[in-house]
Amino acid sequence: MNRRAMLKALALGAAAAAAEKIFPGVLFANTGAATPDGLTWKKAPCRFCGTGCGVLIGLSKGRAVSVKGDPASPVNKGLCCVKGYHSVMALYGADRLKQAYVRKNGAMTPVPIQEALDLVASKLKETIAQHGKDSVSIYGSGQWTIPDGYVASKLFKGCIGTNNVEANARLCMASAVTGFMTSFGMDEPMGCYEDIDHADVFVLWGNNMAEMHPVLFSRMLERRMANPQIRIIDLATRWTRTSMAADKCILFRPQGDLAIANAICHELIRRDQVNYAFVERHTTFRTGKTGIGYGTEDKFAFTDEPKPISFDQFAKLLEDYAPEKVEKLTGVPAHEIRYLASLFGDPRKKIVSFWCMGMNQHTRGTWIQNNVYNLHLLTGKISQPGNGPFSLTGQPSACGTVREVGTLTNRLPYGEVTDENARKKAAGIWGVPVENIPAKPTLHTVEMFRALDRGDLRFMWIQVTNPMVTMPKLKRYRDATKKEGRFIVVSDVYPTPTTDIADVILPSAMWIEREGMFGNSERRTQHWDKMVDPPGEAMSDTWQLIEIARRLGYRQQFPWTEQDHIREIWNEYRKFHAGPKHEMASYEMLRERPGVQWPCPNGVETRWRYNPKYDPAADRERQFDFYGKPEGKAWIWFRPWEAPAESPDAEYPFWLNTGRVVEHWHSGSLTRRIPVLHRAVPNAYAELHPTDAKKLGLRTGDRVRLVSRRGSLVLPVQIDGRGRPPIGMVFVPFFDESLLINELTLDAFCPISKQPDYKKCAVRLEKA
Amino acid sequence: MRTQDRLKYIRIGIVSALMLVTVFVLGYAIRGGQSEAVVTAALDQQRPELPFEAGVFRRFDRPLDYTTAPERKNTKRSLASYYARRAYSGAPPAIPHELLDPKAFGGASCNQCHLDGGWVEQFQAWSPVTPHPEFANCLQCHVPSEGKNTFRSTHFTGAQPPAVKQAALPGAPPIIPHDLHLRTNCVACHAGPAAVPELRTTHPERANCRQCHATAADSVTAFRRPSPGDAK
Repeated sequence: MNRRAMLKALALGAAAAAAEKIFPGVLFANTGAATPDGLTWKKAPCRFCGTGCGVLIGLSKGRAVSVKGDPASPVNKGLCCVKGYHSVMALYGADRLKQAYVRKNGAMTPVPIQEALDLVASKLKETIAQHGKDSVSIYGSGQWTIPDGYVASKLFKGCIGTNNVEANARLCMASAVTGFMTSFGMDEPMGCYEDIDHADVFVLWGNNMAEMHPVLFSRMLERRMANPQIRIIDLATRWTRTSMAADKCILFRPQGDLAIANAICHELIRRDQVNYAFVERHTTFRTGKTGIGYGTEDKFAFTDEPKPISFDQFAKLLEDYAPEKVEKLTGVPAHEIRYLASLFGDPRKKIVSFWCMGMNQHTRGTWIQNNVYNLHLLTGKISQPGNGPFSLTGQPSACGTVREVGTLTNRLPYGEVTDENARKKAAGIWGVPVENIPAKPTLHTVEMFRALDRGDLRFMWIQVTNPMVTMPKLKRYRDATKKEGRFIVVSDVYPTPTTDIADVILPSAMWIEREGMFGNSERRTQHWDKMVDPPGEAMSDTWQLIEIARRLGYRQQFPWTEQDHIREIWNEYRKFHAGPKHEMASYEMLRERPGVQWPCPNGVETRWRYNPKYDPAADRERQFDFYGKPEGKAWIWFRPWEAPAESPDAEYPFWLNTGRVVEHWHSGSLTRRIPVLHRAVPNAYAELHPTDAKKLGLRTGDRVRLVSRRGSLVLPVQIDGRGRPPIGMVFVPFFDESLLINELTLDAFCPISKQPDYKKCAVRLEKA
Repeated sequence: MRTQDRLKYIRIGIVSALMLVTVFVLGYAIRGGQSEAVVTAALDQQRPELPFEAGVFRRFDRPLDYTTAPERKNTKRSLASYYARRAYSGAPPAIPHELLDPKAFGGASCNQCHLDGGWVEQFQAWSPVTPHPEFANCLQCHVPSEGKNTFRSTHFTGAQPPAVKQAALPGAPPIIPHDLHLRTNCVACHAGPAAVPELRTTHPERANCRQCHATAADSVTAFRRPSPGDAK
């Protein structure tokens, strides 16, 4: 064995064991042994965002007492963010839900959990008998574990026979899914985080990565520190910590991203910097419907009509997007657009685009994804190390559970409900008649809450999410839940505004209190063991669903024991993805490793899809094979700029932009119970530009009233805190349940993805 | 042959030999470098880079000379306040003061004081030194946190800090009782005017800390081999 082979063997096989000998004092992998510090360390993926950091949980006397980054995880290489380091504290809030509650004469009364489950089952049966199977629904989350989502889909779609299965990822990732489906015919990124270690240029599209994906952002900064020629470009609507760290920040007017991407395409063609060989062999051109609406009315429906066009027609359509014209529309100087085009067009530069909610929560969310893919397809900068468009996810299992298991009204664990073969496959694996699974999608999230308001929907079971903080145009949907004849079941770990409107509260076992799996942004499935006991009668969401399924008479479909159910569910679910394009790792492999990327045929992970050098499913005869689409050709769409659903006017002159902060996770029900995070950002605030603040006579700490067409809210002002919106915009974080900014937001959504836009509506400001 | 001539030929011989060796070494190094690059890439694929030794000597590149740093008398830091800033032993400490520039992501803004330490007039204190200045996004892990308010109270109890100065024998060099990830640079915390008195080394001039101080390895179980006659 020569030195190289030996090093390789060391790298591939025994690195962890070897490393432990070389570097004592640093814990590698999942040894599970008690150590001199008296702690036992076990691996898990972090509970919070979609990055999917590997963490090691320090356990002592049956409690989680410590966290460190897992050096063996290729995601974070031992680093975490402040949420991850303090994540275990979220288990121990004093007001943890330990027992079930049932509303009796208006008041929540504690009951044994079995009694509450009996009530849920009988109410389900009764509602189906009275109003039909499409009057009941389940609303889950990208924080559902894979087994949670899988049993929910099997119960509702396969057994009960309704497509009323949705998840909060509709508010978070739906546009990313439709973007991938329309451009590539298959969901999820082609690349992986290792792209960061190879790229020369990073373009962040409306993505405050320094706060929202800090571990990946740090990896980028590390790369730039070692290679000063690396460029980070922040394309944003608001100045953030990311802008501060970037080499260049280009601010544009909200919705301008559509036009900027088109202008870059226009420039690439004008400069003759198109990779014609790639475009010829691997792409084809389409255009779709325009003037497609905003979905603000009930029962809104939309179907796109793709029409083939030629490259020349595509180039002609782009003529409206010359940099000077786009400058007027977006406020971005033409020379900045040309600079961006020069980066994309330079064949020597490897380039990665990153985005998350800025492009997803967008009334033209699908279109902007298409437009950014166009840049990478026209230049052939895709599916290679350091080259590619990368859609980041917000939740730990938005990919793993919602997108891969398909807990959306239109999806099955493999394929769309409209596809007969997908229904047959599901029925076969689930052991149900194929007629059980309806061929038509029913209610997407916003429409689900509207149906509850109208009375078309009578029963809703909400798990691991807090819609009474996170739904846009909140008042309508909160009032809907309180109407007579609506029955709401909420499974959660703490009291929240959503448990406030519940008829039954089921206490859940969270994260390391049960066994589970998540799937992160880079197609990595991550398993963890149960490490501590859940409090009181708390029960995992998976097991709650199994208990209900059995009460409804589906024991045959849900036969597993408490000891083996996660393994058995995984083994059953894996059957859906068999084959080189989506093969999932074995249960045993998942338990051993800090995450495994799919497709994983024959135990080998695929790191760059569609490129036969890395992807065994791609045609060896071709340089690239976008096998999700006919002839292996990706679609380049012409998608125009269209105005947002609501823009500032004389009466409501400010943009309202909402989002997160690094310290808080979503609706704050976990992170606010972690003292160090609460103390860092104890409440929501309104971030203003100093010029606007001066005009309104406001200073930091003063109170300002925000008024939109939907509602109003008084907030403390913050000027030049961690961010600075441009003149004419106000930014408010949404985590604070006592300052609910979603009372003001608009429920307009992308007609293709049905994902609402939380970044753009109009408000006026009054000194309060 | 005269001695001088002989020396001359020997010199020429040596120079030629050296040149030959240089050519070989260079060639080998270049080829070695290439294969190294390949191997590193392979390593990266499976396992992260493990720079756990990287910071051991780093502080000594910095201009601040710990051996001549002024002795601090009116210290504000103590072991109690040190651990009070951490949710559990090993947690990233919270920031006990207002941010110099809240818009900054960390980096140069924090490192003005925390890269090399020094006296900070505003706080009337010596600034603690970061053991990992290579991570620039400081506010990713460290957040300002003041007061004792909570949203809801908590029952969390964190891992307890290890005892200070654990030594195997009386007078033996104490072991390193904590994890080294992000903390390979010993003197950042164990020396200098800002260091917590209980944690200070008496001999910061000795750069090679781990020559004498062994780690209490997390994952190592006691060494044991069967004695003759032991049941299997």
